[in-house]
This record gives sequence, structure tokens and C-alpha cells, in this order.
Amino acid sequence: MKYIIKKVTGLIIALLIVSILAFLAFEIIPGDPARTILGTEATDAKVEVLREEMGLNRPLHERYGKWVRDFVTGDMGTSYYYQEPVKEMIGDKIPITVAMTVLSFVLILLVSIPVSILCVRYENRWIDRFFLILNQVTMSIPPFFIGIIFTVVFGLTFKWFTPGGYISYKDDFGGFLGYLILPSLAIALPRAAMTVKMFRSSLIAEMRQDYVRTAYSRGNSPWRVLMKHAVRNGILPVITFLGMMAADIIANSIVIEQVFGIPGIGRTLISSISKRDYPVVEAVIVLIAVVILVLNMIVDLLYQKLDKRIEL
Amino acid sequence: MLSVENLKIHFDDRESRQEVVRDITFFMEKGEILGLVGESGSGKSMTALTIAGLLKANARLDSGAVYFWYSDEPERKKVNLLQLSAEEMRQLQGNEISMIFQEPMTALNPTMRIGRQVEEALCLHTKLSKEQRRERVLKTLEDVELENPEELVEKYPHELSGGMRQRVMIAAAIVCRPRLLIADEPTTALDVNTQASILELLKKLNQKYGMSILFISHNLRVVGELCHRVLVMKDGEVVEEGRVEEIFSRPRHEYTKTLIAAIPSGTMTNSFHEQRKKVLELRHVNAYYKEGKIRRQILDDVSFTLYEGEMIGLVGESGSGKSTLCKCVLGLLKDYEGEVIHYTERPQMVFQDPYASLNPKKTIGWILEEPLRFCKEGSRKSRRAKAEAMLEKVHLSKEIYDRYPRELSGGQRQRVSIALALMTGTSFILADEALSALDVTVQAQIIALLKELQEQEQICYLFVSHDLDVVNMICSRVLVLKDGHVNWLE
Repeated sequence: MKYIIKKVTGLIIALLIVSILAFLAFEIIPGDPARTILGTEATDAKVEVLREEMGLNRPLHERYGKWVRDFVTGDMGTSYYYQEPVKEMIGDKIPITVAMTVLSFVLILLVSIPVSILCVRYENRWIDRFFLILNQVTMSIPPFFIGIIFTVVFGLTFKWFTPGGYISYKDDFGGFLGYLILPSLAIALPRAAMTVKMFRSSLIAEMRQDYVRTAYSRGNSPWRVLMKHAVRNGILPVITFLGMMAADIIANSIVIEQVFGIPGIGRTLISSISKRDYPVVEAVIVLIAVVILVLNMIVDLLYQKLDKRIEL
Repeated sequence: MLSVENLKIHFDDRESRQEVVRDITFFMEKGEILGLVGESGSGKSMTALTIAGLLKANARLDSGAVYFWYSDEPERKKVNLLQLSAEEMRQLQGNEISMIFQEPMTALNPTMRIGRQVEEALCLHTKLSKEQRRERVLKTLEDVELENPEELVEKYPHELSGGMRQRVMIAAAIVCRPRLLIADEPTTALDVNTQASILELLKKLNQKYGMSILFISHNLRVVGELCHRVLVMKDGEVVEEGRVEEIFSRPRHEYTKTLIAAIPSGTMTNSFHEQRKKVLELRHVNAYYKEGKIRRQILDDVSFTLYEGEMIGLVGESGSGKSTLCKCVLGLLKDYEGEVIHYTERPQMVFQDPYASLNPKKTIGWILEEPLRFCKEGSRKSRRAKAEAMLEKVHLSKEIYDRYPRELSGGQRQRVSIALALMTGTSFILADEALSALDVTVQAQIIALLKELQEQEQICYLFVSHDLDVVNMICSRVLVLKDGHVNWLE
């Protein structure tokens, strides 16, 4: 309980800092939302009137204060460009990005755990060496490029899916997940390769531990020693690693959404930045921060669950 | 019950071929406790691991047979363990032949509940139901004299003390009632009192279940207390064999004689040096340790004085406050009352593990000169000269200056550690379990060195150890720390 209170306080402080930094960033980078809305033809006087209307001329802290007050009450403001509530604009896009992030996580685990275990069981045999090489290659390919290859191979050649033919989760949830698998895999593969590298060496270190010898002395088979004893200990550093990767996965999903034409939060973010649509950007940044922080909190809790020596 | 015949094993490293066991033959009767004594590298652990079927991949079996009788029936079924398949061997492991190890800290799985670890052999070798297994686990935990087994099964190893962990190890090993228990230095990592109680327990289990025990140790005294018969091993060969009483009263082999001579005799010279200068004085020290919000008292009214050229021993079980007292002396502890007076400089430390306490990436010379460089003392040349002089003082050759720690033996490394402590010109050494990681014969050499430095250089020591025998032998006075109180050993 004490841990939860500590974490939630930390979360709130982190969010405040992130949102302030985002606000400051918009002050510094060039570009004027009012000018973007009215176009380059508009006179300075007109722009000035609109700035006044939008409240852009008020001091920074006042604007920030208002934004925080609104945000806390659930009002994320109104898009400058579309004149629509931000909540509605991004509300139905969040599930898409979250689904893709979670799917990527699941795929990373599904690929890396069996592969690592196999490599350690047959350490230094051909299967281990094969995966080591494959790993090295996979790790060095950027996700967007894997995405392009997938689109060409599975989309255009094998016609497993229609490139750009995104299926909304509101229409067909199964089809939606199906469409997300390849983009998620594009994000997951390089990260799965890193995870294998890490999990493999961590497992090998565990297999040299004294308690593993004890386990053998009880008559455990090599497979049982690996599965029942080493995996649970060896996976601990990997969990920390996965937590640190959360931000990375979200950043990559923003790129991958472009490649596969997925209308997730990433696309909204990019177009809003170019339109200087700050309320939207601010909301997206804060939401991404929430997701990352919550994921890390889950990682902490999981870690403690697995290793009782850790006290939260 | 067990018969080892002409066993030969060597290690295959890429470059070298190292013979570890050369032609050993011995037998064990049912219900017998057989001691296997020798220093590390004598092949005693290798022999044990061979019997337990746990040899490492780079160990090669040259010849020999290990026969094991796994029935008391008249026809006496016997198998050669070395010719069994891995699967057949696994059926014996933990079931008929069990093993316990030296390190109760690391030999248990840290993320598995005690109950599950004790139960594991039952899951592998019996068809008992869940309830029957639980009953058997609780019964076995009682057998090893652990209290509250119901609570214990839910715990994790880190919640137990070293002695309790070793008992859990034993419970897990005997849960299937094996005919043979192999104990590889099971008491070495424990403190004196716990050591004695574990030996007592092994004796009881031997009597209660008629279980044979192969007891491996470098400590002849411990073997003498427990075993019926002893094998003395040196360089992969058995040099002497016989009943415990015979070996102790009439040792035939030279090596056995040195081992017996190395057992600390327990004589003590009680001399106070009133005319000597004081080095350290503790006056009514109470020390505390904060655990979360609770401030626990660790030391309770500790007072003593250390004089120039004196060696005081400090013994106590783990948790008795030894480390806290050391921290106090080193000035690393803030939360204490009373006075800690240093009449000279602060002490330098010599640690337990000479393998871990020297930076493996640096040469011995670099390591020795570090304190001088830190104090910006002398030129390069004079620092080198000082380091070389110090190496000579601890009886190491000057050539070691350019070597790396990994090229030295444990004893040599501990000499380097002592030289390092003396580099700053201190005359006060705090030795924290400085002999515990060494073999008996090496121990004796290091003790001789410490004594020599004490007499010639007037070095004084606070010698912290769990081994009362050693402390008793080398220290003029011994402090016993128990629950934060100190008493002089009479």
C-alpha cells in the first residue's frame, strides 16, 4: 500500500514535469498556431485578433494553470485546427496504439522466451549458434524497414493482408488484431532479438549457480532444471529490461503506424505537431507518459512477485 | 554398500591435462560415516561429485568403477554407477544417493519456497499424493530439528539463517531416505556453534535411519568428531586410511602428521602489556542499527583496549554484532554512543576473500602503490622500491610486482593483501575472517607471517573470525561477542 502511494505521487510529479516541459517546448520552437490556421496570406492584424481570441497572448503560467485545471476535470481542451474537443479526437485512437504496444510486448515474450531457453539448453551447439547469428542480424534492422519488407512480402506477394486496408476495431475486432500483428511484429522482432541476447546470457549465468547443481543432485533432468529452477531466476533482469523498453516500443509504434497506414495516436501526434495544434500534442504526450509510467509500475510489481528478496 | 575401485579422473582444458584423482580405491559399509580429508585440489570433492553423478563436462574419467548396492536383500543388487545412462543415474540421484554442499547461501534456489525445494525429490521419485508429500516434508523438517515446519515451508531461503538453510538442505537431501548421503564441506561456511549442531544432527540421522554418510572436509578436527573411519587424500591419492582413533593416535604418513599438528591446540597465553602503548580503546560503546523505522541495539556496553603489538581475537556467531563492531572501529558507523579512541592511525583491513578483494585488471605493483599514489607520496621510483620492499617483508618474490592477481595462489594473494594493508605504514590491522578462505596448511603459513610481523614490526591485530580454534591459537586474548555483549574468553 505504501508502495502504491509512493508510486502514484511519483507518477503525478513526473506528469507535471513532462507537461511543463512540453509547454515550454512549444514556446521555444518557431511557428504560430494562429498563423497556421489563417494561412500565410492573412494580415498581421487578423492574426493578432485570433491570437487574442485563442488566449495565446496571456502569460505562460496562466495558460498552463488553465490547462492543468481543465485536464484534471477531464477536459483536454479544443483542437486549434479542427475546433473539435481533443478528447474526441484522440479518444478512439488510444485503444489502437495501446493494442499495438501490448501486442508487441506479447510477441517479444512469445518469441524471445522459447528461443532463449532453446539456446541455453543446447548451448554452443548448432541451434544456439544459428540463433546467435540470426539475432545479430535482426537486431540491426530498424523496425520501419522490417515493416516495409513485411508489406512487400506478406501484403503484395502473398496477399495475406491488404496494405493500407486498416480494419477498425469497432467493425471487426478479430480482423483489427489480425491487421496489427505484422506491424507489431515489425516492432517486436529487433527487441525480441535484444531480449534473447540478454535472457540467454542471464540464463547461462544462472545455470552455473550452486543451486542448479543442487537441483541436479536431486535427480532433475536438464530440461527440468532449466524450466523449474533457472528460468524464474534468469528472467528477473529481463523484466527490468522490458520495462525500460516500454518508451522505445511506443516511439517505434509512431513510425510503424505511418508505414502500415494505421490511424493510431502516432499519426495524430505527427500531424498535430506540424499544424502547431498544441492542445492535441500536449494531451498525447501526457497520455504516452502515463502509459510508460504505468507499464514500469507493473514491471516493479511483477519483479517483486517473482523475487521476494525485493522489498517495495 | 559402496565400493570405489581404481578411480582416475583428469580435467581437460584446452592446453593442459590436469590429473585430479589418481587411482583411488575405497569402500563404505552400510551405516558408516566415512571422512574424506585433504586440502583443496586433493581430489576429494571430485571423488564425491563422481559418486553423485555430478561431474562437470570438462572432467574426464580415465578408468575405474563405482559399485553401489541398492538393496539389503540377500542377492545384493549392485550396479556400476559409472556405466549407468543419464536417465538411470537420475533415478538414483536424490532418491538413493543425495548430496549436500558447502554454501547454504547459494545452494538453495532463492526464488523457490522452502517447502517446494524439500518436496522436489519426492515429486521426482515417488508417486505420493500431494497430501502425503506435504506430510513427509513436514516430518522431514522436524527430523532436521527445524521449528514450526508449517510456517517454514512457505518461506524463502533469504528469510532463514545460515544454519537453518543448511538444515533445509539436509532435509531436501534426505526426504526420500537415501542410502548414501554425500556431505561436501557442509559446515565450513558456518560459525562455530552452528557447526557443532549440524554435526550433531548428521550423527543423529545416521543412527536413526542407518544412512551412510560420506563426509568431505579439510578440517581434521571436524572429521574426528563425526566419522568412524577416515581417508586422507593428497594430490589425488589416498595417503592414509584407518579408524579415527588410529589416525589420531598413530598417524603413519607425514602429511597426516602435519594435518594433525595444524589442528589448533587451544593453549593460550594470557599476557597483558600494561607498560605498552594503547592503540585503540572502546569505552562503553552502544551501537544501533536502523531497520526501517525500528532502531535496534546491536552492541551493548562494549569496552576493551588493544595494545601495541598485541593480537586480540573477536569471535561470535553471524548476527552477533561482529561487523557492527568492525564498522565502529573503522569509523564507518555514525549511530553509536560511548567513546572509540584511536591513539594511533585508523586500522587497515585484510579481508576474507583474497580472490575478490584484489582488482583483477591491475598488476600487484599497481595495487600495492595505490595508497601511496592516493596520498601523492614519493616519486614513481621510490613507490616501486617501497612496494618491492613490502613484498619481501611478506616473503614474496619481487617478480610478483608485474604479475596479476589471477596468476597467484590463494596464499600468495592473502600475502599481497597483508602487504597492501601495511603500505600506508600503519601498525594496526583489522583482519576480517582473513584465514577462512584458505587451506589448513596455507592457513598455518599465513598465521606464521602474521606472528612474525607482530613480533618484528610491533603490528597489532584485531582478528575477527568465526573459527574459535584458530583464534584461540594465535591470539593472546579472545573477545566473545554474543547478542551485543562482549566477554573475555577465559
